[in-house]
Amino acid sequence: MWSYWSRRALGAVAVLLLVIAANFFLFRVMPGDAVSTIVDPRFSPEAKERLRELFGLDLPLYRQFLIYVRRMLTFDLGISFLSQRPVWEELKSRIPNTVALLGSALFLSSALGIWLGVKAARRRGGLTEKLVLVSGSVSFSFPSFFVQLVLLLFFAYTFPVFPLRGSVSIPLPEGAFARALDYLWHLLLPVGSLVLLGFGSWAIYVRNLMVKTLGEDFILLARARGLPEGRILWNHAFRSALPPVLTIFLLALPGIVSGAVITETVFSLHGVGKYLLDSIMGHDYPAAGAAFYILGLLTIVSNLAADAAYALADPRIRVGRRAQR
Amino acid sequence: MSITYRTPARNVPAVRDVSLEIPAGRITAIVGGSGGGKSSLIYGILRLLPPRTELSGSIFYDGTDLVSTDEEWMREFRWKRAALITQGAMNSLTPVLTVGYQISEVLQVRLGLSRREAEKRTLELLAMTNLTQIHARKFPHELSGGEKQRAVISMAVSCFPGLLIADEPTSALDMITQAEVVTTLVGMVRDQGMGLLLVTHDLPLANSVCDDLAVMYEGRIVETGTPSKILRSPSHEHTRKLLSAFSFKGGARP
Ligand SMILES: Nc1ncnc2c1ncn2[C@@H]1O[C@H](COP(=O)(O)OP(=O)(O)OP(=O)(O)O)[C@@H](O)[C@H]1O
Ligand SMILES: [Mg+2]
Repeated sequence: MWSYWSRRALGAVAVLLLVIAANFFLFRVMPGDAVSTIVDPRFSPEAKERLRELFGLDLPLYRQFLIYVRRMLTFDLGISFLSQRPVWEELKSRIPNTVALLGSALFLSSALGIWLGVKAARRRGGLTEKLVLVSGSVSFSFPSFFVQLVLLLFFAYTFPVFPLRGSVSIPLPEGAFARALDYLWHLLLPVGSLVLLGFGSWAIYVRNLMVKTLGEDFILLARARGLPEGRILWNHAFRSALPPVLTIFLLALPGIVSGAVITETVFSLHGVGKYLLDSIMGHDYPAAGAAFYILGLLTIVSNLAADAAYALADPRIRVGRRAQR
Repeated sequence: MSITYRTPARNVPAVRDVSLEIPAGRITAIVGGSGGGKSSLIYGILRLLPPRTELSGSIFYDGTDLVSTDEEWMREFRWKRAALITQGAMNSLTPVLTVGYQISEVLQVRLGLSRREAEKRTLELLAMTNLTQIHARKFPHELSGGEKQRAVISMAVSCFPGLLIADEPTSALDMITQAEVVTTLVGMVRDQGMGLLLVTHDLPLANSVCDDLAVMYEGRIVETGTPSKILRSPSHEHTRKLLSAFSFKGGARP
């Protein structure tokens, strides 16, 4: 049990350091990196000073790295070149939007996909199964920005039922309830598009797993006990298939970064992903590095959450012993 | 009755015109070599055959023909009237649920017991096969083969079925555990006055516990009678083969 968790925690720390290290070196080798910017005459003396301060550029490399790690861990993310404001101040307000977008998209697409996958596995060769398999493969083979642009054109331009851009209306509507509604209204199309693009792989994967599980002996025995079909399906079959289902949660997580960047950019949402892209476009290195770091952090945290759920779902891990035969 | 599996390649007649009576409160054993159709026969009785398998003829249980009843009636029938213990039992429990939970689930869903009543009853049932609260809290993979099989027996008698069907309940166990499980099973059946249909390829085992014996070969019942009669003067060649196979190994068994 403890060894399982310490392994997971160590893994998370290692990934975190990897993200920080990647950031550290990436923004040093890119054309127009911090070092060459220092000597670049187009940069103002203040910007150069800020860079020197942020990266500790006159110190040896390992010292620079240590300083960088400490800054990242304390969310001292530097000052943005573009806005001249602390990056953390700018990112703070964006994190909830990104979490709301990706969290609800991940939740809804997995819930829909799981439900459809289980239904499809229940009757082999039935209409539901065919529909799920076809819609599922269509869903996950489309390029996301294309689908999102088409949706945006159709539902926000041709038939303007949804807003064309932004996370909130400007000016903000009066009252907390009206504001919440306004927020949801802005979120609906981006989340809807992600669900549309995401449910397919869940549905197909869950359907395959469930077909396999429903063929197991213990399902036949549950049927012999005269348990109702719904109980067998969810409490016995799905419950047994849950640990592997959770592993694709893990596989889906790296998509967070690209999902955030593309979706937030297409729908002009006030989120971390769009900030990352804007910063890269504007050669705003402290900002871009910080946004990348925050997205990495979000991924690591969700990774740990999925691991915890996996351990709870699989008693063979929970008790820290391997299954005997 | 007859059972024919439909496979893409061909139809497999697994059970052919079998006619068998299983008297209430007695132990009936079916023996036979591998592929003889024993498992098919008992899954047919419970109507748990794969979809599109053809089941014809009739199976009477207390005067009702099981072949012509609807699925809902069969669901109600299963476990309350006839319960099943399968080969190995290794895979007959859901791996992610505790043993106690699974027994208590049957009691709650099938007998309408409250959760507390069901949990109390679960412990009583487990005690009947010498298992305790500790075993109830465990997951199937944490029990030994013998413990698992005893838990399965506890679960099988939970709704007091008139008939217990056991498909090679001991074939995955070592000799000592086998004897232990068979003793538990037979003791339970005799105590509760249940009927037992015991399927096995172990002729000496069948002989030592059963009242009536049937020999199955290539989908047909080729011989029936009391075990002593069949062992003394086997009339079918397959029975003689089974007998000689065992006299090599076990010799001294009665
Ligand atoms: N699902 C199935 N589809 C097609 N054929 C099957 C299926 N199940 C069993 N059979 C065939 O039916 C015949 C009888 O099989 P069955 O499992 O009933 O034998 P058995 O007497 O229980 O054998 P064993 O002692 O090995 O358990 C075999 O020839 C087998 O190949
Ligand atoms: Mg068999």
